[in-house]
Amino acid sequence: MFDVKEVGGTNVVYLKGEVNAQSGVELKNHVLEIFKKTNTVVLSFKGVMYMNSSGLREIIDLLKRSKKENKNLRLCDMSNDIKEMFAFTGLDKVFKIYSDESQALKG
Amino acid sequence: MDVLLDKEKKVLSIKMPQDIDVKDFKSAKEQIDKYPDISEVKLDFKDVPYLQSKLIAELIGIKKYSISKDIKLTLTNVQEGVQQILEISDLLDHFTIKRDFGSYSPHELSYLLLDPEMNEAVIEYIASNFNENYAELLEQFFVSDDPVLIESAILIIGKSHNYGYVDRVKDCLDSPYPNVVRSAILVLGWFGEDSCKNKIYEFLKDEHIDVAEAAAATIALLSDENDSIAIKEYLSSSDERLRKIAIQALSLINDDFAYKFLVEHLKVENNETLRVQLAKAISYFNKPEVSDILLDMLKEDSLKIREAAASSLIRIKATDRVDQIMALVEDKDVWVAYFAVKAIGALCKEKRCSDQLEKIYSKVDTQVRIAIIESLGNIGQDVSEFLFQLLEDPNEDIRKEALNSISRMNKDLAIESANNALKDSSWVVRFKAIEILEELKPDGFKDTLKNHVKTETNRYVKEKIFSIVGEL
Repeated sequence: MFDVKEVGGTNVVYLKGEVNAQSGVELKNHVLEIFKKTNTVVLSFKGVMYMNSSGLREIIDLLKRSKKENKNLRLCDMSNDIKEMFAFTGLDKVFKIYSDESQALKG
Repeated sequence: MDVLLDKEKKVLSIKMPQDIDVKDFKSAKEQIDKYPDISEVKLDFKDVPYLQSKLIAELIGIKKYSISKDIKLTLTNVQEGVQQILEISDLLDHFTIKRDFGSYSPHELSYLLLDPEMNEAVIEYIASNFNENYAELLEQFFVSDDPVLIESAILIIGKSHNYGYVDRVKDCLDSPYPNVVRSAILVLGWFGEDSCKNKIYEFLKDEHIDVAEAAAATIALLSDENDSIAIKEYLSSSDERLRKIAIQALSLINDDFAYKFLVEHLKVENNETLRVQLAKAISYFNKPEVSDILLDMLKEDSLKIREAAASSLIRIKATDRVDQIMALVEDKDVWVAYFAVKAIGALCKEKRCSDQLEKIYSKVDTQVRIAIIESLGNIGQDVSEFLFQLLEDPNEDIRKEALNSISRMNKDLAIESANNALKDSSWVVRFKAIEILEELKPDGFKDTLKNHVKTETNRYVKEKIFSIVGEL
């Protein structure tokens, strides 16, 4: 569902396949665990093939909870279709979205 | 002169006065000396409308001083008058100039919100730094008659996830201003506030399409098993904008009903743009038959639809459909073949795919040949000998693409080919050769480029070489 790699001291979570209610909850819990040890997490959408509203709701909840803890959640490597999905719901203005991983790591 | 030290970030902020003079730069230097541990100095020009030319020397002096102390110097909130002086003096590139909203009072920020170029950044700033002062400001915005300020207040609440204001946001659904209603609908979606979903449904029929779109998006975000059925109605609207919104919403809801409705709608939708939208929307359903639907769409008359189908097949990694796609690479319609070849290049990594593309190369149109060369590079099997022959092709695009694909599979041959290609008659090919040498960095490549630039006639190629080796 996702891989985690540390790149230059920052945790990058690579989402894979489908982001739905189940994988979204697992992702959220995992990232919240990472946030106990660090302040910034990058979510890479490069491997996302499918995403639905339930998955998106979990990512919104993750953002809400990370903001509450003053943590930085950055999103990157979205295909145009995924970007459209975020723009459709106005969430492109809520999340910090970067074109690629290197930009997201710079912040 | 106000001075603020952020010890944690080691940043010293110095606010320059309106009637700025030489003495202010001197005291700025003294302030820098007081804090030996700082790594950045921000000179805030928010109150400085103009800079006399005699002060330019002082500014350069403080820049040099900060460099000598290994401290980053940033000029913040530079006004247009000061910016112009720096531009005329050819100094703009020598200074880092940024906006720092932290220097502005809440009252001043409310004015900046009315500037369309500033609005989004100010909303982001207030949302990220929300405190009691800004809470008071929001109250003022909500009772104001200005739709921009009310909309800004709602977006600040949404971005800062400030659930305490949810009732205020709900009240805004009754606002006479479409922009206010739209932002309220979106924020209620972000908040997961499904108690007002029925009310939001009413806005699907709103005369302002932005409001209807926000309503569809929020319903999709808050969706349960009944929402696809309700949204379906809008697929048969005579307004194509509403049909587009319905397609997007159903794709996001992504349940079995939504899938069924979209597939049914594909049979009757004639609008090209909406068929493109449908290809994308359907590709977001994780169902085995989706690949077949996209394969059929690959054969449609519209180039845009074929492109959307091909890129969707690639995105869903339809590797199990490689054989069916391969059957289309020799299609009599050049563009069907073109997109099929592109899809093969992205989906297959096996030798059988590169063998097949190599085999049909001589039988297909030039456009498809270029796609084959590119796909061979993507597949990654070493077919460099085949590509090497193409470096003699009369078509410059074929030579360029062959050079590029060789560089992806055989480094030694790529270096040899790129060095030879510097003598190519086409500047496009020479440019590609230089890009490859820059990427692969063979021993002495900078000397090779320096020698080549002496005889190079094309401006773009010369500029490319200069960017690698520096001006000679």
